[in-house]
Amino acid sequence: MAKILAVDDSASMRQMVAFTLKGAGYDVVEATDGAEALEAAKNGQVDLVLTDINMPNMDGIALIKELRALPNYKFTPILTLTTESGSDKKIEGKSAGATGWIVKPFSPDQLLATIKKVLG
Amino acid sequence: MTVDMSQFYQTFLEESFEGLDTMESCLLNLDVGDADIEAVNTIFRAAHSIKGGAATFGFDEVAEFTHVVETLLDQIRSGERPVEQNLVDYFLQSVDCLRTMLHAVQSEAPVMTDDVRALMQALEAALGGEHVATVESSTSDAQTTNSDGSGGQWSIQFSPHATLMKTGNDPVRILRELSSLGDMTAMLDVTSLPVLSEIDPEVCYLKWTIDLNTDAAEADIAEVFEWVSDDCDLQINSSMVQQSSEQSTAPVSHEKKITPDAEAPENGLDIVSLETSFKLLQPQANELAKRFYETLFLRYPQVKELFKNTSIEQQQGKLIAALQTVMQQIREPEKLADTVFALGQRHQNYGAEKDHYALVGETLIYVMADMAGEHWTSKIEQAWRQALSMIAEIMLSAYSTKTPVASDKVTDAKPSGAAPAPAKPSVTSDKNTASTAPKMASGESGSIRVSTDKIDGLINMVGELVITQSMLGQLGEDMDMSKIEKLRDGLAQLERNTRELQESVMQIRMLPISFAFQRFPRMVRDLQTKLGKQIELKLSGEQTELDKTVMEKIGDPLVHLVRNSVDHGIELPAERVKAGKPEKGVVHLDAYHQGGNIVIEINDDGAGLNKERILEKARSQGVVGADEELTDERIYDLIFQPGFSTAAEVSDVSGRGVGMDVVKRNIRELGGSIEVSSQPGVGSSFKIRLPLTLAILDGQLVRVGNETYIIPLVSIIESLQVKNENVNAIAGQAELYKLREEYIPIMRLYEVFDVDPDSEDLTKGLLVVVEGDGQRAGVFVDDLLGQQQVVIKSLETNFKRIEGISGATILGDGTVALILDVGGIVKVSQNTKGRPKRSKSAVDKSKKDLDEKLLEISDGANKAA
Amino acid sequence: MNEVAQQQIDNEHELNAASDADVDQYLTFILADEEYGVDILRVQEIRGWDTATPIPNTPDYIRGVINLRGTIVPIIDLRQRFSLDVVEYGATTVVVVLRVVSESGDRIMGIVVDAVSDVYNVASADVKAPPDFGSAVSIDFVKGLVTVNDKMVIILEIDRMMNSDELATLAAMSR
Repeated sequence: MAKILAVDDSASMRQMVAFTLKGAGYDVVEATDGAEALEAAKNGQVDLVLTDINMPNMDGIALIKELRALPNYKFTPILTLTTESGSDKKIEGKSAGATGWIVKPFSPDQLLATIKKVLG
Repeated sequence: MTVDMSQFYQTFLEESFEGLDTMESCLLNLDVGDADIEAVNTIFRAAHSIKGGAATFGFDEVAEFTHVVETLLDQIRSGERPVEQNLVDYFLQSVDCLRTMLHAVQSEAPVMTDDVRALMQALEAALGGEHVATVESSTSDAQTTNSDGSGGQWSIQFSPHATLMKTGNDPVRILRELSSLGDMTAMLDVTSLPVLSEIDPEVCYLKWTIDLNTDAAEADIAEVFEWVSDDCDLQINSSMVQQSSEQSTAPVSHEKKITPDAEAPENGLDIVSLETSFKLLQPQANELAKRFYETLFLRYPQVKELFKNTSIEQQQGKLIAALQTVMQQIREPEKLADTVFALGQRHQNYGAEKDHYALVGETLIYVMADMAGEHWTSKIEQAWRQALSMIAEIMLSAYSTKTPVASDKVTDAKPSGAAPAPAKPSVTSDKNTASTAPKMASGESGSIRVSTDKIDGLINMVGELVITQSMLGQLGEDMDMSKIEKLRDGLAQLERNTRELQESVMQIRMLPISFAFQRFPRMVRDLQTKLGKQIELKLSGEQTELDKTVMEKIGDPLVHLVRNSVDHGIELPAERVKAGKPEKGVVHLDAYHQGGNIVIEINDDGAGLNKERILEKARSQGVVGADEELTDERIYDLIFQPGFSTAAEVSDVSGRGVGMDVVKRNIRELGGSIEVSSQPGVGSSFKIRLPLTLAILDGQLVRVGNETYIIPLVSIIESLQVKNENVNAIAGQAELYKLREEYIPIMRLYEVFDVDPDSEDLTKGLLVVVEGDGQRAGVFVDDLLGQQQVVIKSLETNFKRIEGISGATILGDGTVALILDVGGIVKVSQNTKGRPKRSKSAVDKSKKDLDEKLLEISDGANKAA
Repeated sequence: MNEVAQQQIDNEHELNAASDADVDQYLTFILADEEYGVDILRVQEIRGWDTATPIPNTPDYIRGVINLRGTIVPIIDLRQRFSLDVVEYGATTVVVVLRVVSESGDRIMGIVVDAVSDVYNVASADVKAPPDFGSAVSIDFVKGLVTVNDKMVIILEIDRMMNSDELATLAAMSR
């Protein structure tokens, strides 16, 4: 099953995302900020990255740029988790190299539907 | 897939409270006019997370409120708006407001109060009346469905830019998604494809013309291309309009299904079968429960251990209650899941393991089938199997979300509120049902966050321990004298491993004291406004770590002391100027490690304690004799007496009915001590000394006759051999020992504890000079044994508190040794002054009382006989 | 809500009705030639006598505390508790470890008895209220008497016995 890297500084969001994805049979790697996520991504190839934008240490935008610079993450789907108020964040994430976005708040069902769409 | 969101509430609340604390401390440090951008970012991030979580978990009011706060913060962050004092005040109020709201969420009380609304309006006004888009409640539906009936035949021109694939998007995925909307024919245009040798695999050269026959709306189609709208040229044309307006591209419904239909039950449970069979068995519930446990223990004796702390009658009551709760809530899956989840958490505490659920399920089905007899059908059995496995699954899911670290779990594991009368299980089941309801932990949380580093460290150490163990194991297999050296090395290694492991485990519970300090900036800020004083609060040593439990318990005493310093210590600005001091007073909180203790100091540069008034009051209360002379130290110490307050008037700030005596008692309960020193006009200083952890102490083993006692090493000043010329007997009763320039009372431990010593001759034993509560005493013992770290066990768990003893521990040979409560012992010795045999005679008296009582009983029996 | 309450009341009836027919098991032991019984479900284990660490300033009948797999358990000499003659502990002397229910929760305590005797099934209907005589034990501590094989067995009320006087928890004492 596909392996997903879930990045969010909020423990509850991370728990919710991880629980939902694991429940659907995905392998989930969790990270609390961009720096930790980058480390995790380097340590083992993941099939999809799901990242919050606003995080301490390294934010989501910087993470996306760093990931895209890695040869084995050039085409890996990266989805950002953004709030509806941050429409410019969608674009910012996109231009940094994100594949797409999921708008917060989202339900577990919406999350899974989007993930399935991307991973096929 | 149904995900029970309530399981994340606790985490959400915990992190939100933490976020609010962070916001508060950053706000307090924010310089108006010249705000640190990083601080603003941190504040924004905290608000942002709270909003996101609140919206996700359905706390709409919280999300709505935070949204306004966040919008304001965002404007500051982006530089649109300067940091102004009134904004900072608003934000601080918002922090308080959000705390209240989250507490309301926690206790399921109404969240949106008038206060909240008023503050929200004020914030909106601050936003300049500009419209704040309210957060879409619950989930935002991007997939709008076609309601205006424009479904039909679509022709789509999709020409990806060369860069489309660079963002991880894949035209194939988009086509696949499109095809899921209806009948699709895609025509590939390869005209831009270069010759093979020139192809760059990272570039997209292809274009498509797509015919799509679908009931979906144009928006749905456009949404497929949403992520790539900037990375392609896209044309969507309706080629034929169909009239079928009632389309049915299943809209994704995000509403929670609360009441499942009985015919098509949620989770695929056969509720009808469950209910019918349960009704059938309900009259025999008692018998069912009884037989269940009999069968369970008969079949699986290994589970009996789990029930060792509880009575089977109680368990039977609990089982019935649990079954009833399940059946009552079976049509409300959300609620049921909460209940079962909570039950799972408790079961984890009892030590139930995954495998046990299957055993329990099998047994229950077996017993039910047996009792239902011919009414038991395979359909019913199937329904129960399904239900039980679902329940087990939910219960087990509760396991993973809890960190089984905190020691308070141990007490949780004990069945609480046990009803003494076994004939009334309804009482038990009643309580049981009540406590099964999903409860969000209030106040002190039982969980602790542990960094992965600490866990990794532990795992490594356990690894080493295993290696040492196997090494020793091999050594033991064919042992001879030549290997004695190796054995010694191995044992040394084992000792080191054990010690390291112990330290690391203790380390898990250690948190920086900043957790306890962080509330003070705000508190002092509020107080100084209220009192018209100017105060600077200095914090230092915030990174000093101490045990979580100690931290939780020291919070209130600290608040009391700081409040006291601000209220009674620091003078009003005018007075300060008159006394030649700066207008602004300083309250300094400092924490540091000293020996095995953590020391917390609260210093102020205020007026100092009023010695005369304290003495006067003590004399009027009769605590101190009219012509008794006291050292300054003793006078200051009087403020810790019960009912002692010298504040001329009870102020709103400090006069809350809790005195310094309570502060002192709380600290003593933690095994710590508090001292006060003061200088008139210069200030006061309180020094709190606390053990780093409650679970372990460094002990000195001492021997009196055949008994071994442990004296906490921290309270020992020195140990010495008694010189007869230094012993002074007062009135032939109390004994004092002249230690350099000081006289300390001698306490013969064998006398206090009523045991047979080796010798009653002071010169034949040793005097251990201890200090507790600022008082010294010499404890006379026969001998000093070794020093060692001991794990503190409570006497109260199964017995009760004993004066002069703080607990017990288990020594290496498995026997129990008592730990002396030095403060208590010193007190005993003080009381003994002039009445040296008091404690002993008290025992004699209680013994006599009892003997008399028992005599009466046997007298009565004799008479009757 | 009413339904729930009603259901519970119903249950209570059933349970009461059922418990009348119940047969309880009692572990019996010997103390000064008399046979005493305690509810077997309360018995945690039976172990040989081993020295206990004395607790200062407690009555003599509290022999001290022992280490029972890491928890500190107080040990009560039942002869002394009942003011019977004190005898030397012998080969049959055992400690019966009991779970005692008290106001502040369950407690584990041990009692020293002369010897364990037997396990009996006793129908609760056969337990007679204790007459106000004939036993060295305070009537408060006796749940009832029962005759088994022509012998009288005194069924003890352990919760009351182990939560009174000096054994009372602080919580109970402060009340």
